[in-house]
Order: sequence, then C-alpha cells, then structure tokens
Amino acid sequence: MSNIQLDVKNLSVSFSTQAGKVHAVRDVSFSLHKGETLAIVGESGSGKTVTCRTLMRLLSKNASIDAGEILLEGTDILKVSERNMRHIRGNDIAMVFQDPMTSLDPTMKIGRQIEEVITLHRKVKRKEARKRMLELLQLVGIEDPRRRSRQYPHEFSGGQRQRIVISIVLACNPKVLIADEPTTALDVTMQAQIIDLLKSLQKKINTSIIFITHDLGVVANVADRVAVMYAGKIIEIGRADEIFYDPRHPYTWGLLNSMPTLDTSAPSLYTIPGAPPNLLKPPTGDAFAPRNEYALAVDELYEPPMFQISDTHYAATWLLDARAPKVNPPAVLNKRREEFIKRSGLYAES
Amino acid sequence: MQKANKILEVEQLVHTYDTGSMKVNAVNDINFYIKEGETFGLVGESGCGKTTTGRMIVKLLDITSGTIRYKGKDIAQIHHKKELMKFRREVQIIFQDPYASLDPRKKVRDIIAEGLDIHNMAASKKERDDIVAELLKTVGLNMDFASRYPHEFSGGQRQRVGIARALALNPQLVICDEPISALDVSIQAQVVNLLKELQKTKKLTYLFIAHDLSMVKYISDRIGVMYKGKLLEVGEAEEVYHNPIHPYTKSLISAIPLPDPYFERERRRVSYIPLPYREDLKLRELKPNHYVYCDDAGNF
Repeated sequence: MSNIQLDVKNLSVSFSTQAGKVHAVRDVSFSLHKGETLAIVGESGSGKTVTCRTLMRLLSKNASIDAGEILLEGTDILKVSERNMRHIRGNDIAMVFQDPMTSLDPTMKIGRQIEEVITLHRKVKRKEARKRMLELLQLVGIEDPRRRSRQYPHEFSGGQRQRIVISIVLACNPKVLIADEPTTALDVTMQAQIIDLLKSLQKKINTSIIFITHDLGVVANVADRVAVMYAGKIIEIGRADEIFYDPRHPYTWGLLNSMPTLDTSAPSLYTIPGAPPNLLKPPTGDAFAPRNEYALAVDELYEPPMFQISDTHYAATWLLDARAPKVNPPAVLNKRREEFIKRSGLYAES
Repeated sequence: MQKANKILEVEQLVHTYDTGSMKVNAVNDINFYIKEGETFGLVGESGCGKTTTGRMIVKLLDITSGTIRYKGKDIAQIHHKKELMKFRREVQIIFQDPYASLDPRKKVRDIIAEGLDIHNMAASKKERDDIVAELLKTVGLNMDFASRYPHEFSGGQRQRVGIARALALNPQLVICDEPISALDVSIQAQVVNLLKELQKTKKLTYLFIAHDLSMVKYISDRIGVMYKGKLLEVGEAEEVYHNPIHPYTKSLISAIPLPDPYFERERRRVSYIPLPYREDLKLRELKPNHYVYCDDAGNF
C-alpha cells in the first residue's frame, strides 16, 4: 500500500546491563499512515521511548536490535549504513525531545542553531539559510524573529524553547515527526498552544506524527490512532474513538479510569494495583496478569495474541477469546461510551 | 461546612526577586487564608509565583513585604529558637521533583529520620527505627526499603518517601508543591489517594500547588488561581470550576485536556489577553465566598 509511510514489523530491542538482558521492546508491530498522528501511550518504562529511538537509530551502545524491520517507504532503515542514516535523520525522520532545556545548545545563539541544521541538510548559502531561519521562527510563532534569533536559549521560556526545537525539526520538512512527550514539561496553556502548533504544521506540510505521551487528555486531542504499550509490547491499538469509547484491554480500562474528569467526586480515584513487571525476565503468559483483576487462568501460561475487533482495532487479552467469560468494562467507561453514542447521534457525522 | 479556624492567613504578600538588572515581583500583593483541615489548591502557569508563595510560607524564602500568619502569629516574627523549631515541626513541605529532593547518598531511613534527629524526637535507635518503619507502612512502602538508597526506587516510590519525611514530625500544615507533576498518570492517582487518606487520618491541612487543573479540582475544597504574581480568583472548588468569573480562569479551564476525543475535537479554547495594570484593581467578593480580581464596576 502506498498509503503507509512507516511500517514497523516484529521489532525487539534489548539492553545488556550488569544485571542481565533487559527486554525493553518485545515484538512490536505497527504502521504509520501518511499524514496521520499515531499516539503511543504507556507508563514510564513501557518501551515507548525506546521504540521511537530505534526508529531514529539513536540507541545507546549497550542496546541491541534483536529482531524486526523498520520500513520507511519500503527501505529497511535498520540495514542502512550509519553514513546514509545521517541523511535520513532530520530529512526523513525527525524527533522533538521531552525537555527543551536540554535539547538546545546553551552556548549558541538560537538563530545559529537553526541555520546549522539548514546548511547541513540543504546545500544552501549562509544568506539563504538565514532567510529560511527567520521564516521558520515566524512560522512557529516567535515574535520579532530578527531580534530573538540573536538570543540564547536561556532567554526564552519553556514553551518558546519548545517552539524553537520544533522549528529546527521543520527545517527539513521531515516525512515522519516523532514527538517524545513534547508537552510534559509545560503547563496546560502552553501545552495547548504547542499542540495546536503541531497540528497546524502537520496540515501545512503533511507530515506523519508519532506522539509519545502518558497524558490521555493530550492523546484525545491529537491522535487519529492510539497504541497502548505495556511491558515492551503493544497491547491495544485502534482509532482514537475506539480506544477511548470502546477499549477492550483491562490495562486500557485502568489507564482511562485513573484519570479524573471535572465531574469526578468519588472519595478515591481508581488505581491499577501493583507495579509493572521486571523486564530483565519478562513473565511467561500475559505480563499484565498479576495486576489484572479480570485475569484468567490461561493468562499465567500463554501470552495472548492480538485479537481483531474491527478493521482498525486490535487488543491482546484472552478476555477476547471466544471461550473467555464475558467481562464488562468498569461502569464509568460504559457511561462515557453511552454519552458518546448519544452525542454522535445528535451530531451525526456525514 | 462549619466554621473552622484559619490556620494560615496571607495578607498583601509580596516577594521581589532582584536579578541585578531588574526587579521582578514574583508574588505581587496576594491575600488568602486556609482553614484548618481543608485543602486549598493554588493553580497557575509556570512562573506565576505559586511555588514562591509556598516557599515563603515554610520560611524557605524571605518575605519582601506583607504578612503570613500561622495560627494567628506572624511568621516573620518567629525568631526564638524554640518557637522556630516548633514552627518547622508543624509546617512541612513535599517537593515537586522526587528525583532532586532526596539526598542520593543517604539511606531512606536516614532521609526520613533526619527531622526526628534534629528535633530529638526519638529517644533510642530502636524507637527511631520503629517510627521509620511505621511511616513507611503509612505511605504504603515495604519496611525493607529503609536500608536502601533513593536511586533504587521509581518516581512514585520516591514521592512516597518524600511524603513519609514530611509526616515524620506530625505536621499540621503540609505544603504540597506539585507533588504529582513528575509522575505517570496511574501513579498520580495512587499518590493523590494517599494524600487524601492521610488528611483524613492525621487531620492535615494542605496547600496543594499544581498546574494540573483536573487533579486540583478533585483534591481541593477551595481554589486560588494565580497569574503573574496576582491572585485572580478564589472560591470553592466546585464554584470556581463551574462558574468561573475571571477571563483568565475561564481560559485555563477551557485548556484542560480531557480523555474524550469527541469533546477535544469540538473544543473551543478561550484565550486570555490581560488588561494593563490599574490602581483600582483588587480582589473583591462578587458572590459569597467567591473573590475575583477586578475594579469597582466588576471589570477585569
């Protein structure tokens, strides 16, 4: 299919540490369509950042890619030489990191930092690079770019710094943009602005975005599709409305349920009991079973395969097996689903 | 709610940071109070002065002008060693970053017991260990953790250690300075539940500082909204969220992300453009117990 921009197949990544091999990403497959936003959610340590760093081939030295392929428009970037990879980074795949404080060079004026990227990737003259730099700053909403380009990163606020990072990333019009928790360090108002900026830029240059976050509110805003990761695996993937209004995996239920809405007044919030498993020795069976109140006997023994729910919606839990007892998601989520059905009836989409 | 005593009163509080080339009023003439046993939420974007306010209350920062009264007594007037020690026991703080606020070279036991040592609250080594074990149990950590170092713990566990440390001296007022911002969603819920439960069993009063509005609304009885050093709106949590009056509060509430794609697609954010400063703007009671920063005619 020509519609697929990036295709990740059976990717496994591990790290060798003093304590042994940590299986950080275990058999992850997903595809990214042209122009869409895929959100990857999960707790810290679930493997979302490692997955995306693998896409950029920016893993630390003790990491090894044990299996899988990453097809960027048909070419496996895991087989590309480091020299060619440098060309792919930035031009084809670019990344915005979580902390805008640390991804900019504090000793270099921000105008130079942006120009550097332009001159490295495009064979243009200094003067032209400068013109493009000012355009980019304008594009991401930095006022008075001529003056501000002569300032250092510490002279900008967190939100402005993140805008500058985004402008650097956009310098080469990448086909895939990976945003690794770009708004986590920012407060709500800034967060909303950065998300709006990313969305409007996506429309302008038609990039595909992989958006990593643990904030489900942000996901609801940006994502066309959502992948939920747990213990190095994707345990549920589907369109945003499928994940939010018709989640099937108990872990997704737990995640959605532990976030208060403005109407929440229960005496205590729902929490998922226990802690994620140790990936030094991943458990046999379903990794989520020890924390799962709906766990079945089979969970202890066999890992659940991906069950298909619709054309776009898949989940890995034995609860979806034909032989499993019927389990209803928590009442809160049912209520949310009913509200959705009611509303979409009112505003029927064409 | 029956009339409770005001445990903390803040009046015309100002803090000025002098950067050398310019002076910044990080906290600029704010007034509020906290009643015994309640949770007062302070929200606002980064740089609005909420942390500075919290730090002045625990005497980690000097007050430039104005007064903070704890149990009726001006805290700037607490000089006597004995009084100061008592104040430090009763008013504790939980910090934002559980990675930076625990000494990496100390064992968890010594981190939690540091206050006990300073205030001579444990008579013997055994009593000290017992208190630490009890505190670890209270915050839901395993007692074996006492002899481990902070780096061995996850963010949520570290924040629990920070809470145990704050509780060690049986405080009455606890300043929670963004205690959950650095944590995952599922862990946030755990820590919030713990704080709520402790409040009930230990009769604590909280000042809860955060920028996550849905969590603040959930945990707080009353809320104050700060913007650029000013307190713009104060009122009951439900009231402020459902009937916000100040345009800044409206814009903040309209920006809260909700786990609901349909809502998010339809959402209209309200933007806030502050008016230039005027002399006659101050916090006025527009509705019973609902204060808004405005002028005489109710303009913002």
